[in-house]
Amino acid sequence: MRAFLLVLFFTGVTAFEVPGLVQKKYWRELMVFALLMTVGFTLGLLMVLGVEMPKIGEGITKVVEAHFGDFLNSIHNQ
Amino acid sequence: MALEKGKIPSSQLVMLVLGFTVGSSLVITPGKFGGQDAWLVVVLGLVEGLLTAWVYVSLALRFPGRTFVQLADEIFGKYLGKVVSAVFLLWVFHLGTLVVDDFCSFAGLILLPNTPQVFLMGPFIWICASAVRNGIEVIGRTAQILVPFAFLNVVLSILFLAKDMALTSLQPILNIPVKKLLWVSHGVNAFPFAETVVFLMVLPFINKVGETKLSVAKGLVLAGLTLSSMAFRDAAVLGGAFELFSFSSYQAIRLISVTEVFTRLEILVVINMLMMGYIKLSVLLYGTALGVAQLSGLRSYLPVVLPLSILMCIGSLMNFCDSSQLFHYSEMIWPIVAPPFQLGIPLLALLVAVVRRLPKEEGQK
Repeated sequence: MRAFLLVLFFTGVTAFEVPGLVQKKYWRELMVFALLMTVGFTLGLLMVLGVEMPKIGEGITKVVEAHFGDFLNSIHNQ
Repeated sequence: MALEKGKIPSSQLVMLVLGFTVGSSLVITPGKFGGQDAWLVVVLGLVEGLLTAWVYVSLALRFPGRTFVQLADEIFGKYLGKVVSAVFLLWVFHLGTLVVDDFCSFAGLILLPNTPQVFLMGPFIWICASAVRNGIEVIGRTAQILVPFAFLNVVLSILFLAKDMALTSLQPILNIPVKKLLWVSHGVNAFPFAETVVFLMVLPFINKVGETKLSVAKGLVLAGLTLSSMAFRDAAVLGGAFELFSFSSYQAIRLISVTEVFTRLEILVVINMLMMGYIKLSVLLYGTALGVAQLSGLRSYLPVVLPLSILMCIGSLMNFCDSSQLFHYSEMIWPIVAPPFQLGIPLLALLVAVVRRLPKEEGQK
């Protein structure tokens, strides 16, 4: 059901945007639109299917803490 | 070919900077970890923020009418310039995902705890996408209407809470180790003052270029005063518990009770949150969309607005497992992660431009 709603939503956005681009012959714009939508749809589908996604903020936190851990602890403990 | 034909007056730029800066700070109070000195910490953060603003406004004024993506091409060359622009835009996009996360955390924890996050962020970002598709003039005009209203809300809340404020809660002043004071004030600069570096994508569209510096400074100072008075209000009302609440403004305003008629006014925080959140997210989405369009050599930025809005929603879902991680990130990690983008890249660009004596006159090219 959730996957179906996702497909419906992306179809709606595509139907809203693409006809105008084709009419104006904006092929480059269409390519960038298609690329971004493909990335969005793939990530959305993976989420809907329950695939464990990497957490970007958590990753950045781990990298920063690995390099600045002692400094951050010294401030936190004050 | 110009992707944006609109122009905004300097008064709208002041409102945009003010609304953008106050933005998500209405949800997560900046300087909160300065305890009773939070109001002072905000003022120190503002000073650092003004210095950061001086750097990026100087850069923008050196290349009038050009966004960061365009001026980076000229300063760093065609290829390196594109890499620098892409890195900057990725950071703006990441900031956008964090802002969506801020608002959904607040709505999800306080207002609608059983509603799936995607249904909270969907309508919110849809409205922002609609504004961005209508151009910078529409965002500017809405800021001119919404920001004074939010400002009035803050003033009213302070007046209503005046009788509950205990000034002894703010004493002793500066009872905080210097290292922590500097760290927290730097944190206030990183979130929210220096985040206004995103305006490098907006400043080319001001109609009176000569007023840019003053308008940005006015916006930042007004935002600093607003945030400082909010921190003062929250610390004076909540006392020692001020630091403990995730959403201290919300908790403080819940206590308003004027002759038992004006009660449960926390709706003021929610209204402010929606209005200022709209401005912050619209500016971020606008900057990202315009930047991506210029980077890919498109003739219009409109086709990338909706896909980028969707990606921002997905990006915010891919940031953290829970809100406590977001708060930790805002307090401890962001002040380290953000400065290279807020100050580093604009300062480097400015220095290279000065050394290379850019921009060159038409005849020198």
